[in-house]
Amino acid sequence: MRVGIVGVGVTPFRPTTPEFSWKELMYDGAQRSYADAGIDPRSDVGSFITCAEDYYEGFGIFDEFTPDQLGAVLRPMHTVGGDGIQGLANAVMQIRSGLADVVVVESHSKASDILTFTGIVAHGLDPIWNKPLGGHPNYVAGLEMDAFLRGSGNRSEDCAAVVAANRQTALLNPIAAYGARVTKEQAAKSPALWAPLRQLDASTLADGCVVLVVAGEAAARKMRSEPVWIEGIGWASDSPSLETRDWVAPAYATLAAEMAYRLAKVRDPARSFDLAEVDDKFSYKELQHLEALRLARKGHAGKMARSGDLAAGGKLPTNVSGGSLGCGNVLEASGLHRVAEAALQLRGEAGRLQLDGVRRAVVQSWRGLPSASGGVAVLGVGR
Amino acid sequence: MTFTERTTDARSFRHWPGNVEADYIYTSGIAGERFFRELRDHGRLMGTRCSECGTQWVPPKLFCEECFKEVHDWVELPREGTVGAACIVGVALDGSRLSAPEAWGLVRFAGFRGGFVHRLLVTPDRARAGLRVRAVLKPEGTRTGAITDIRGFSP
Repeated sequence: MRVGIVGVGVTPFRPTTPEFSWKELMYDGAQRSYADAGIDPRSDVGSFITCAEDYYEGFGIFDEFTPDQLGAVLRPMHTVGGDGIQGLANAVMQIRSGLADVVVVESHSKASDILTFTGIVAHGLDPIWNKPLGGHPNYVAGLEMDAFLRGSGNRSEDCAAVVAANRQTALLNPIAAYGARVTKEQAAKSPALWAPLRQLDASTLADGCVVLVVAGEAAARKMRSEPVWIEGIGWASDSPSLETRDWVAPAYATLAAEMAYRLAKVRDPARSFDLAEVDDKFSYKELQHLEALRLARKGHAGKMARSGDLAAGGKLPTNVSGGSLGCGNVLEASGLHRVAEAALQLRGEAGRLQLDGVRRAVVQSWRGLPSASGGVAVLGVGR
Repeated sequence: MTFTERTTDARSFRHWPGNVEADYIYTSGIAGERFFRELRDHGRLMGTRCSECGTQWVPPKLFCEECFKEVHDWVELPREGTVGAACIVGVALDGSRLSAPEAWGLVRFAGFRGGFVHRLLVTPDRARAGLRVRAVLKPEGTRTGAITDIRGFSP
C-alpha cells in the first residue's frame, strides 16, 4: 500500500516568536496543515506523532504536553525522540500495518526560549570522556569539517559557495528567517571561530512548526487529486561515540539512504531525482551528505556547488528552499521542513522557488550536533 | 486575546524565567574504572581487545561494538598517537572570544579503534592532521582518575 502526504503546514520561521507560547506555535502549524488537507483532527485522524527532544523543550516527558494543541486529546499519540523524518517513518509503518488510515506528524522549534543552547549541545557529549574537558562544543563540527575536507578532497571555498547559495535562495522563500545577499567572499572571510569552520558556515536557530498529514492510498486519493507519495524511507545511526564514528563519510546518511532507496527501487541515485533537500546545519554537511547519498561522486560535491549544478536549473537542484542555512535551524523539525519544501515543489506550489518538472525528490535529515543520526525519504508524484 | 486578535504591542509580552535542576553523578563503569585507575596510579593509557574479532578499543569497552561479545583483555596503548583531525576554537562555551585560541584534536593510535578527542598543547599553526603526539599528564599525586588527568596531547 502506498502512503501519501496530503497535508502540509509550515509556520514562517523566525528568529524569535515572542507572542506565541510553544503550544500556540504548534496549534498554528496544525491549523495550516489540517486546512491544507481539508480534515477535522477530532474525527479524521487515527494517530498523532510528535518529534521532540526534552532538553530543547525545557521540560520533561514532552509527550504528556502535546495532545490538546493538535486536536489529539484522548487519541493514540506518541513522541519520537528524534528528527521529523524518523517520526514520518513511524507514520508510514502505522499506516502500512493497518493501525491507522490517517496519521499526523508534527515537529517544531521554539529555540528562542532556550537561553543556553550551547550548554545543551555540550550536554549531548559523553559525560565521562568528553564533557569534562569543557570548550565550545562546535569543536566537534570543526574537527569533522577538517576530517571531511582532507579525506574527501573538497575545499573550504566550496563550503563558502554553499553558504552563499543557500542564504541567497532563501530570499525567495517567504518562510525563511535568514535570507540574505551573502557572497562567497563574505562567507570565506567570516570569523574562523572553530577553524576550519567559520561563523557563517553554521546555521542559526529559528522558531517554527511543521505539521504533515499522511494517509494510506485509498484515503489519500479521497483527500487530494495528487498526493505526494512516500516511495521510500529510512533512518540510521553511526557508532555513538565521537571516538569511534566515521569522521569523513557520515555512515548514518549512507545507511538511511540505502534503506530508503531499497524501498523506492532507486538504483542510480545521481540520475534519479529532480530535487534534493539535504541537511546543511553546517555548510560542509551539505557536501558530505550529497556524497553519502551517492548524489555526488566522492570528492565532487564541492565542484557541483562551485559550478552551479546545485542551483535551480542545475543538474541536481539542492536546497533551493534555502535549507537550514537560509531558513534557520529548526532543530528536530528540520527533516519535516525539508519534506514540506520538497512536497510543495512536487505539487507545483513552491511559489517563486518552483522548479520545472519536479517528479521525484530525495530528502535527508541529520539530528544536529553532536549526533550521528538521521533519516532519508524519497518522495514522488504520479504513477 | 485570541488567535484572530493578536498582540501587536511588544511591551505586553510576558515570559517566565526557569531552569532545570538536573544534577547527576556519572558512573564510570567497570571499563572506565580500570582505565582511570591505570591513568591515575600508573600514568598508563589502556584499551581493551575483543577476543572474538580482535578489534582493540579505546576508550575501553567491555562489550564489542562489532560482534557484541563481552570483552575481557586489556592492552596498553602505544606511547605516540597521530592527530587525525584538528580544530582551532576561538570562542568559549558562553560565546565570548578567547584571548588565546585553543587547539582541539582527534588523536588516533595505531591498531586501535577510537582514540581521544582532546586539547592539543601546541600553537594553532602547528595543530594539524598527521602530527605525532603524546599524552601530557598531570603530575603523579595530583591525578584524580578522570579524563582531565590528561592535560592534552603534545608532540
